[in-house]
Amino acid sequence: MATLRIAPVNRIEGHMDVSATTDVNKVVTHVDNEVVMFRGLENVMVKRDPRDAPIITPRT
Amino acid sequence: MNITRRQFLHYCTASAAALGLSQMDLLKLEKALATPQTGCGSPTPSVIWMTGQACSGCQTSLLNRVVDTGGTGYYDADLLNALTGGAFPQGVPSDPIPELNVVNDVADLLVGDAVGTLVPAITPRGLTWAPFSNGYVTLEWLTTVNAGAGDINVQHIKNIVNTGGFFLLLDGSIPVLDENFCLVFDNEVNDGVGGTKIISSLPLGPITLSDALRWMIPQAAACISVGTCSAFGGIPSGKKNKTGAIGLQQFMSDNSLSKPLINVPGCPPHPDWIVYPVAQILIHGLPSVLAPGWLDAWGRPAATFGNQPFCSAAGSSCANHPSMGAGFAQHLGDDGCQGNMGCKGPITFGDCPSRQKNVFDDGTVNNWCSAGSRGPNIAQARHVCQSCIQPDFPDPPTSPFYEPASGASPV
Repeated sequence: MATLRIAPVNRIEGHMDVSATTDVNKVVTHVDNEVVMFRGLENVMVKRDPRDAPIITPRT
Repeated sequence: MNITRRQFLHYCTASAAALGLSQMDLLKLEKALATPQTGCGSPTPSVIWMTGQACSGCQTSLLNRVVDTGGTGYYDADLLNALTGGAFPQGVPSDPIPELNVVNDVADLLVGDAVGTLVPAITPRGLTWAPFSNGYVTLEWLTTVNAGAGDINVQHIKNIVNTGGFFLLLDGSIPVLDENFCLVFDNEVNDGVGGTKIISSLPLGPITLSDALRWMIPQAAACISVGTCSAFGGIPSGKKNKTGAIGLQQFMSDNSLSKPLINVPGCPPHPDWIVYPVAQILIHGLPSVLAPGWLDAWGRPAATFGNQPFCSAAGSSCANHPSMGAGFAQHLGDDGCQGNMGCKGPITFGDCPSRQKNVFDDGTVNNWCSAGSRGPNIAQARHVCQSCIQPDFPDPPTSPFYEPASGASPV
């Protein structure tokens, strides 16, 4: 049993890590995808003019 | 295929006015590309492009640079292929290294063809990025386009950082309230067993952006903040944010890191703004761009961002300026000055109205946030300037975006 961890995963738009676990037969039994960046744009939107939303949220 | 030196020179020549390059500068650029003297201590400077709390818009802006080839204007498939190692079908990156036709290659005749061969898309050192021509600037790390993944890349970046003298580009802000809000790579050999570090001076396992920058910046020749997030914090640093996002300038100050830093804000920045400082460094050397007055008060190249707002009562290069005779817009979408709609031109230091975007060979189809040049087939966005290059973005006075700000009253 082994765990293969790939960080960073490249050629995607954004940050991502992948962990894959294999059993004794080298068959992948479990995979985790982790998004390893957080901005919390919802928090940035709090108490703003609602018309600002379509200007801020596309920049994700 | 790859970007050749000739193609890069062609780009610079065609865009000379936009890039602020004189005829003399172009000659110097040709020489610089033949015998690079960047003043950064390395004959072939590397670029490490780190990504923080970003949206990849800055990278996309550079990739979408519309080139003048053939007078039609289209996405630069060669550049995309050079960046991606051939993921785009328009090019043939797997071709053997092409030979230059020296007889027809005026640029190479001019510089004596000091290099001779082109750099393949994927070199033993990793992916070669050659918008700055022929491997003289090599993009060693940009996760969006890197060919490899995982610990192969981490091993590679370790070698580059230890060598030193690279340019560090950053897009995206840096979270400091909890640095774990942005992880950039794993410092662990991927042998299925675990427990072995790759970079001995960093902790085992996931590495935060902050740790990575504290490791890299002392080894770098210079840093360039690409985009408003990286320069000033940008949208992730908007009030009420929970990550404590800051820009690179603030981060370096807080961590007592001292390196030459050029801010290239914009959300996203115009590709010319990104290319400009790099071309200037290649031509004139790093010390010249650090001379007094080259950067403005916010650390931005004064030549592309200017020392005054682009709009005032006295005038503007904006095609919607009241002096152009179209009056004031009363509703969104109306023709005329967008000042009443919330345009932030009077508080924005930039050259957007005159530089514009998507400018093709014949001058058609250009535009920016507010207005294209007037003429047939010219789009008019008729939207407000959001002041996206200013340090306050996206907080007041740049927002609310559809309300005139104090100090940004209609001219």
